[in-house]
Amino acid sequence: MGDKTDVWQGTLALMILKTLETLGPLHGYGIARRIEQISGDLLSLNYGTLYPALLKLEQEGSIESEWGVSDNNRKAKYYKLTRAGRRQLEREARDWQQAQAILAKFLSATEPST
Amino acid sequence: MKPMWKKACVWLRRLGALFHKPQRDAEFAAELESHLQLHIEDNLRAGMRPEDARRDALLKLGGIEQTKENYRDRRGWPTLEGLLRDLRFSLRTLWRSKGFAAVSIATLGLGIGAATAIFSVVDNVLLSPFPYQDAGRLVFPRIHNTEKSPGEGVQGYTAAEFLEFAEANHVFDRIIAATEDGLLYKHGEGTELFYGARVTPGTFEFFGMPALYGRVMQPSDYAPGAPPVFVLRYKAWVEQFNGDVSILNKTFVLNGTPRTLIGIMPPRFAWYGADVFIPEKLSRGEKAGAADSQKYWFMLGHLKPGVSSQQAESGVTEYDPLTLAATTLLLTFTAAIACWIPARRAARVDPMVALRYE
Repeated sequence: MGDKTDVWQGTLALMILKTLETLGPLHGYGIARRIEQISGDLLSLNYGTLYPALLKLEQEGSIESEWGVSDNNRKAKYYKLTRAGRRQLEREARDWQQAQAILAKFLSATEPST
Repeated sequence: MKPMWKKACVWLRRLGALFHKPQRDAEFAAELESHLQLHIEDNLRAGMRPEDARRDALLKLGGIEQTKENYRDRRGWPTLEGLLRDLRFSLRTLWRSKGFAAVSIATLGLGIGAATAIFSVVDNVLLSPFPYQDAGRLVFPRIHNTEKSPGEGVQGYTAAEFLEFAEANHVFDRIIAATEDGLLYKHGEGTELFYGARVTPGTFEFFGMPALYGRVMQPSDYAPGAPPVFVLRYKAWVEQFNGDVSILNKTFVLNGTPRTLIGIMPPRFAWYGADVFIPEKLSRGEKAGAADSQKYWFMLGHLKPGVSSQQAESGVTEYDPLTLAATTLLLTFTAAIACWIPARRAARVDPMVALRYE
């Protein structure tokens, strides 16, 4: 992949949920950095797009937020997974893997089936 | 969470976000500020110069205002907010010129009323006139003495008076009468009251409408000693009996008398506004029951060919075609004005003025 890939909506939500599951409560900036690091800097993420996505997840009840203090003593808003969010993550991760498996088979099928 | 339940929660939260907007804006501004500070500190630790650290953080965020805008769109309900803003603007504008607002509202009200009136006339005269045979020549006579106005005339007559009038008159070729009669209908689950009408011989021939199901009354149904029957109005049939055709020819106990349902009328048949029609032959000599002698009968006559209602001298005010046309034209004119004035006024508002009130 030559160019950095843009992050599209549904995937971003899934990445946020997974990040929160792995790292526990985290602020927006931390989530953005984590997504970037995990993707090996292949994704170009506008940090600003993270906030509407976080808001959407919060409205849907998948995550909740609370003001807290960061490691270097700064006030920041921390997001954490709710139980509904955990279930959503499980479901969506499974769906995603399934879709990926199907597509992989599809793309690797070179023989015309009879 | 079920998808629908989830959606409802989202809607509620977004609706809730329409309130306390300044606090919500301030909170998000604080969140963004903390985000930038965290980023800047990271950048400084990585060895950037302070001004580069800040610029880089802003660049990666993608613009503070842009982010705030996207966030607001997601938080509230942009369409609804726009609508509320427009509504507030209109109300403020109307409030500024109360006189104009009052005139506009009055004109619109008049216009809507006029349009409805026109349509009622057009509907009843042109689109679906009363389905009664020769409906234009049916007259509802009042009798008044010469010192009183037509409006004060008598319109209810005793059985004897009606028979007298029917015999002596020379302007109507057919004449019928009806009187109201409350009918208690007893059935398994209880008792219901029907608004009934007793109708004189010739009533159904007079209107010339066949029954929707079954048959209308025949002369023999009015004869003394004939088996008791009744005819049902369409509305009552649908509302009370769920439009069940199987009730035809069944027997119902009405005011203690078992009567057979012989016919159900079509929807537009509504003579006397009654639900149930019962045949009754009036006779002068007959000793009617005490209750019946108190009854007043309302007449409906059909003008003989060549007789106008003026000649009929019945004191009926006729709404002649000229009056009808003039009224319709006047109302059309009013409706047109009612539409034109607000439209012209709206077209004259300077776009800059409109913008200023946004």
